[in-house]
Amino acid sequence: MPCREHFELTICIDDFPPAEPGQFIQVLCASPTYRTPNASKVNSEAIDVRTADAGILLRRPFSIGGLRRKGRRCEIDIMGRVVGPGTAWLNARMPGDEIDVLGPLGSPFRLPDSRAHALLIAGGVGLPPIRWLGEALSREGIATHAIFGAQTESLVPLTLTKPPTNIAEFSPCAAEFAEFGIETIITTDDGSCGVLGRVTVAMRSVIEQNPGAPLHVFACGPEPMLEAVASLAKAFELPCQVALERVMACGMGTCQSCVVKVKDDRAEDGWRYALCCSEGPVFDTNDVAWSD
Amino acid sequence: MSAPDLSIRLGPAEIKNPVMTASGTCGYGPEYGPYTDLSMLGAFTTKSVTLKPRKGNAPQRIVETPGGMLNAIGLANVGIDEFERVKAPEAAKIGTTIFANVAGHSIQEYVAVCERIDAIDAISGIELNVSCPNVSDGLTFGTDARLLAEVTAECRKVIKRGALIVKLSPNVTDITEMARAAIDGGADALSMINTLLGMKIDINKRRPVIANRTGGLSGPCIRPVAIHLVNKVYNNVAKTAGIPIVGMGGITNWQDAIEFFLAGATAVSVGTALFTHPDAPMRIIAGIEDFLRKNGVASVRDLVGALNE
Ligand SMILES: Cc1cc2nc3c(=O)[nH]c(=O)nc-3n(C[C@H](O)[C@H](O)[C@H](O)COP(=O)(O)OP(=O)(O)OC[C@H]3O[C@@H](n4cnc5c(N)ncnc54)[C@H](O)[C@@H]3O)c2cc1C
Ligand SMILES: Cc1cc2nc3c(=O)[nH]c(=O)nc-3n(C[C@H](O)[C@H](O)[C@H](O)COP(=O)(O)O)c2cc1C
Ligand code: FES
Repeated sequence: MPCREHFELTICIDDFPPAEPGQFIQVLCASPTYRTPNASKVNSEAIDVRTADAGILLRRPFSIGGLRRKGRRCEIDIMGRVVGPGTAWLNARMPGDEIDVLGPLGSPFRLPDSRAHALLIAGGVGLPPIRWLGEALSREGIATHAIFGAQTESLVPLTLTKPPTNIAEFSPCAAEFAEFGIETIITTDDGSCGVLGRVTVAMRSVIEQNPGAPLHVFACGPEPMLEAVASLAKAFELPCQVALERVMACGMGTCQSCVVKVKDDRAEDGWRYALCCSEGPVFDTNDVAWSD
Repeated sequence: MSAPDLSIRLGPAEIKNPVMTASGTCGYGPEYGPYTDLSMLGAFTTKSVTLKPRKGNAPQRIVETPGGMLNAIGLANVGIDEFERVKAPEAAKIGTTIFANVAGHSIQEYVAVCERIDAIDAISGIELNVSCPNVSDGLTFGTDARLLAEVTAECRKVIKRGALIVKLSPNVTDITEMARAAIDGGADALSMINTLLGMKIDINKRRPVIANRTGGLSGPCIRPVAIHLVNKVYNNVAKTAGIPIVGMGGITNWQDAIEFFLAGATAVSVGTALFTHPDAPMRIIAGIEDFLRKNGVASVRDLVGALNE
């Protein structure tokens, strides 16, 4: 991966349960201090859970960006950008380091039927779940195209095998998608790479160039981007699923910290809070109450 | 030497070991199911239940702080109707002692919820949350000794079967006064501490990070405060009254649990640590048993308040 702003890790783990694109893992961004899976069989020195005193307390959620199985062994790709202590710790990992993860967590993207045409849209570190989704869709034989947006060229975490077009036309420019036969449009806010403008500029022209196509939109990225993608999808009456992010403590539905406002006809005031970690992170945009 | 005795008693509730979960950090039961065997717990404490369902506060609801976290969930919960119908039967399946945590806005609300919960066979007792810092009026019951004694006494009247545990707030000038009030009101046990009020500011936005402005501080950073308060309540009130204390606040491992026992707690609850390690309580149980065996202590009850002073 060419972009120095981002880090990418492959985590090897045995017996990881079945997982699907859109799901995530909770990563302990501190060295594990114990190794004993079965507490009843070991002495007390080995049952010391002291990581919480060591600096970073809560796990950090990361989307599964790719997953390969070889027998019992599973390889999980995660990708991120350093924004604080947890991501800085991950960025400093070396091959062979141990890492403690919980997962898979959350509800995955729902794949459309085979006649559909998938339009994937990713912004910034929203790339990982979209990349893995692209792989799954192409396996299912669903026609798929991708739009990737970033602020500027140095923040494009893709391997560009040739310069992307500066008009909204798909090309096999990004290796991460091209390997699954998916063509890509790149957009940058400053035009330094690909199309000048936001992902919605490219999205609109793709939709207008393909009137009546059974497009399904799947997106992940900053929330303002997702809101803009959702409103454009709505204007053209296209189904749209997005993967949202919230600050999480548990990641598995116990702490109630990760709420997303969703429409609910049964509620007196027409809305309720859904948990991003369990009902989401993938939501149908018709359900999300974006207004505040 | 035979296996150390881990059993304890909180009022009428007999509990197989002294390690419980703290309210609000473990949902209603099924959530952690895939990650750990909750039946090993001494007891499981549910999220606070109120009369009506509550949506809770607007996000952002939590933020990590050095050695801990602030939360302002705002008592988001399903309400007593759904608790009775769905959550209590689910919790019953865990296969250990279940305590329901109850919160309210008025004495009538507390009493109404307690009465209905006491009628649920699967629930062995009620923990009164008179100390939630994240709702506008939640603290008044926990900070006014007269009100606390009154709400405890009124709930006691309708809790005929189960244990009554009163959860104390650390956000008071003299916690022993509150402990006395709860005991006067008829509490079988005290649990402490709930979270400490705190605040974090985003310096770029010049706004509190938590939408509710303030939140409750939990995690290892509050442990020394909790140990001190447990010890103070034990020495000044609970010991002579013969009322057990459920200690909590930043417990992460078995060493922390032993510290709480020595300070005067009969049982401990694990909260924030569950978010990182859902199996932390099971490791703590094993660690306590091992410590007792190595030190030739016959029962965990022998550690309670056993400081060399
Ligand atoms: C389901 C899910 C999947 C995610 N997938 C990825 C991924 O694939 N790659 C990636 O780089 N990041 C991903 N994130 C975001 C990632 O979890 C945060 O960047 C990380 O927790 C930051 O930790 P930190 O200690 O480095 O920074 P912190 O100091 O914790 O935070 C730094 C800044 O990031 C914000 N932040 C923290 N956590 C979140 C969050 N969960 N959502 C949004 N903003 C947050 C904070 O408010 C703060 O402004 C995902 C988040 C969720 C909820
Ligand atoms: C996210 C969160 C939610 C909580 N919700 C409740 C609650 O609903 N009722 C309650 O009595 N205490 C609640 N608490 C307080 C805990 O039960 C416990 O008293 C406190 O967190 C201290 O223990 P800890 O440091 O081990 O977490 C909550 C704590 C956290 C972190
Ligand atoms: S992160 Fe705890 S409920 Fe979602």
